[in-house]
Amino acid sequence: MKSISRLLIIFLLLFLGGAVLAAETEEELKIGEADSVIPLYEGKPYLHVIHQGRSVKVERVQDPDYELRGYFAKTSRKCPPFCLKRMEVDPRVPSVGEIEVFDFMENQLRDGTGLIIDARTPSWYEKGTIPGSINIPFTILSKSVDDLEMIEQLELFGAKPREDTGALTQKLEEWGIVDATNKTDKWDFSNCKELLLWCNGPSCGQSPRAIEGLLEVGYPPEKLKYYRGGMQIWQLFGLTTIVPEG
Amino acid sequence: MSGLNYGQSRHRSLFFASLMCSFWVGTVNSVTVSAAGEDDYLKAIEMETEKVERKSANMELSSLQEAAPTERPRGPAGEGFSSELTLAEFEQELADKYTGTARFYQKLPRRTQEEVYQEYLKGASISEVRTKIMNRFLHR
Repeated sequence: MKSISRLLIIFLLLFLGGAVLAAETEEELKIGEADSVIPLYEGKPYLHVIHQGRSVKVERVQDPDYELRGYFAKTSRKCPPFCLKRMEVDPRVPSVGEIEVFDFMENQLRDGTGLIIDARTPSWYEKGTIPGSINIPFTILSKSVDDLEMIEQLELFGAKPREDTGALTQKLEEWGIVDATNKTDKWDFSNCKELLLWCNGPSCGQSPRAIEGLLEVGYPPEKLKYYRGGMQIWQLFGLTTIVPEG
Repeated sequence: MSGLNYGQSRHRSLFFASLMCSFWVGTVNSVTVSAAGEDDYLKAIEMETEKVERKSANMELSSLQEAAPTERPRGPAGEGFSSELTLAEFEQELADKYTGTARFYQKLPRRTQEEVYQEYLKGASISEVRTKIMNRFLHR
């Protein structure tokens, strides 16, 4: 009888010990899971951005062993035309990195004061884009100020066409009596949106051309930003991309 | 004297005419060269898009599945596992053929499951897929 009760006690102790161990292991796993999240940057696990009317979660690939494959893992492209570009397109236009793109998504894009522009040709855009971007190819943004397509885009960006200003107004603006900041003969850019332009990466000339085109028509440089990393660096960091609908 | 003046003025007009012509030809040529350059650049860009075969590392899955079938990357063939399955088909086949692995797969967070599926879409073999599932389950 005594031996049976001893056996029972041993069995009970073993069972309880196992349960405690299992609970600890589960706890460790949970902690491991929480610790293993790879955030966008320190303190920012992910963000949401509206793309074509629906919310898209922007995050990084969570597998630390993941290696990029395919086109954007290529080290070299034919040069010219796909030569490495300088950090700045124009000294007046700031070049930005990924964290600034995240900030732009959460601020200017969210409150409607900014647009993220995928300046690549449509065939590139169709294969995948950065969430929140709209496709306005550099071929349109390089057109002259009188071109209908350029006019449409400038209106979309919030620029206002100016009525015939008249010689007197022009003179007053010239002399600095009337404020002419962010105004050209044909356009008033006072309330235009901030634009963040990007293309395929450091060896892509599409967004630099778009920026040059916008500067040419008088778009204020302080309202432009250049994400030089583009699709290549975006993908290198395992950041979410999306195939646009339609 | 007047004959000389007439000759001089004639020479001058000819000179200006040829100058204007060369200027016009030069302008037209430079515009043509620049337009041709733009065309070449656009052609090069378009040719480059054909090299993009694979989807990105972290592409939105729903959109990936909505992509045209011709654009969908090939999944692994062989090892008794079908290629080019949708996510639901992939999960079903995993459950049918690798019950044990499927159980571990089901315990993974949704995002990790999507990563596993993307690996499959990108051409990983079923052995690689199974190893990945175990690695992710064991936090290796």
